Amino acid sequence: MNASRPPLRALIVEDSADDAELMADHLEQAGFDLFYLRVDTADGMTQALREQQWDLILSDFLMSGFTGLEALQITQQFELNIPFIIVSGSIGEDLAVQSMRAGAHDYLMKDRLARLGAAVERELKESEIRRERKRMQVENGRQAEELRLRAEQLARSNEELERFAYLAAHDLQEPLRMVAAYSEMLVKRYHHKLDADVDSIVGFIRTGVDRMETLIQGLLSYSAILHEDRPVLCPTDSNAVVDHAIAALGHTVADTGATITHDVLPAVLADSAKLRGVFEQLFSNAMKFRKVSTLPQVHVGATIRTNDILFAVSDNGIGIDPQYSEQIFGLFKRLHRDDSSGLGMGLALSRRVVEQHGGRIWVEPSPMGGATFFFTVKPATAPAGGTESVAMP
Amino acid sequence: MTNGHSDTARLRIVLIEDSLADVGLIKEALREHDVLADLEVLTDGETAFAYWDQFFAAAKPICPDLVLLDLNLPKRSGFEILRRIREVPHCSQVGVVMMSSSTSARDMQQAAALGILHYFRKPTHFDEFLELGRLIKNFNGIKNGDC
Repeated sequence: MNASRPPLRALIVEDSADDAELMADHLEQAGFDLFYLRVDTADGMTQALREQQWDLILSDFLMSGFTGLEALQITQQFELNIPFIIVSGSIGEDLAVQSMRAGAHDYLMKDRLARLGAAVERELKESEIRRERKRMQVENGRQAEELRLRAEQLARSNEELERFAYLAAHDLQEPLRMVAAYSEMLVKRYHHKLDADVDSIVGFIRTGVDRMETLIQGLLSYSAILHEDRPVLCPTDSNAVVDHAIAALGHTVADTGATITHDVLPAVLADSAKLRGVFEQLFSNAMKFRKVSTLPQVHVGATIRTNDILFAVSDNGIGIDPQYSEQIFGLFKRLHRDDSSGLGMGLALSRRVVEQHGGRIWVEPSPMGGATFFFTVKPATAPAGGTESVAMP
Repeated sequence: MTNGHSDTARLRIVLIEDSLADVGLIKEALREHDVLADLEVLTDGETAFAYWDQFFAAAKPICPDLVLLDLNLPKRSGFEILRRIREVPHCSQVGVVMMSSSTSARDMQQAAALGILHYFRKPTHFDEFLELGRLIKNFNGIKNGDC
């Protein structure tokens, strides 16, 4: 036994001083450096527990005017995580079981005190483990709480950021309008006094203003999606949605000679107008980024999975370099510098819409040679609990 | 449109607008379309709000022919002022053109509910801005410099 450890502070609940002394002897023989106090009443015990810390309680079962079970109750009121061992001369099987049920950690016959040292040793270790476990639980709870707070903060600061973007975009419109209007006014009013160069100079101002205006409108519509324009999710026939999206792009389809086909698609839980917007965006990208001298082909398929529907929109276009497969979903991201037709917002908006539908969107190389955009939505018939389970965040 | 004082061809216009650049553009638009107007310019929401106090007091106040009201004003919003205009005992039915760079459907609906002649979305193109002059001229077919 390790001699350097601190003395064992034992509270012995026992009406016989001799028996208490006998227990102490056994513990010392087992190598414990023992400090003990003997009590034999509820008051005495309460006072002892109140006045100092204990490592161990040994309690007789039947005393004159006090019992081991009562001692156990008092111990429990103090919420002490220390071993409580019944040491009795006369405890039967029933009472032993009863006291263990009540929370005693072990019991021992007085004629078997030779075992006391080992029992105490074991119970001290056990209670150390219980304390450690409890500490871990508290720590885990604290960490979970901290994590929850962080997530809350993050959501709040995201919201503030988005709100900021909205306000900034909104306020940028005014000065921009002045730049545009007054530069044009300048030309109109002083046209006869100005050099011919001025038209091209003002032309550049105008181009810059137009571009900036488009970006601002994009930002505003992106944040409108966040703030005002929550999707209304209803059971929706996605065949009709895809057909409408194709029809809406009729001109581009005709101009590019594109073929857009789809399998028989399942019903989904969606805002049909917004879902159509996503398909339109993907189709229009597929046609825009087609391979030279190849007629664009786009195909929509769907897989019914356990928890959602997986749409796959595949094309035979120029594809997307995997290193950009995440970047393309960012705001104002355009991979092709010479592409002036787009805002670089389409996929960012699409991702937003898909996320508002409780799904995900990503891109992979397509077996048709171009890109396949995958996105998930909830099925029209939710597995259990009906449509309530897909309420928007 | 309230028009109790037709002894002059000049329009009495109250312009509520905090941006001097916009005031300049509006004047240009009136000039472009030969709208003869006496322009009273109020440049913040509080002043504009207080302006309508006179229509509580005066027994027979002279009503403006038209109010050009910017939606975004310091201190009081265009909506507050519009509500104020509609609640005074005199001249409450004066024609109002609401002006804003906002395309928010909510703003437009709210303005329409309070009764306006027109919601003018301030454009970035100068030529489009000048159309405001034509708009005003058409609201007041007889009150312009041509006649």
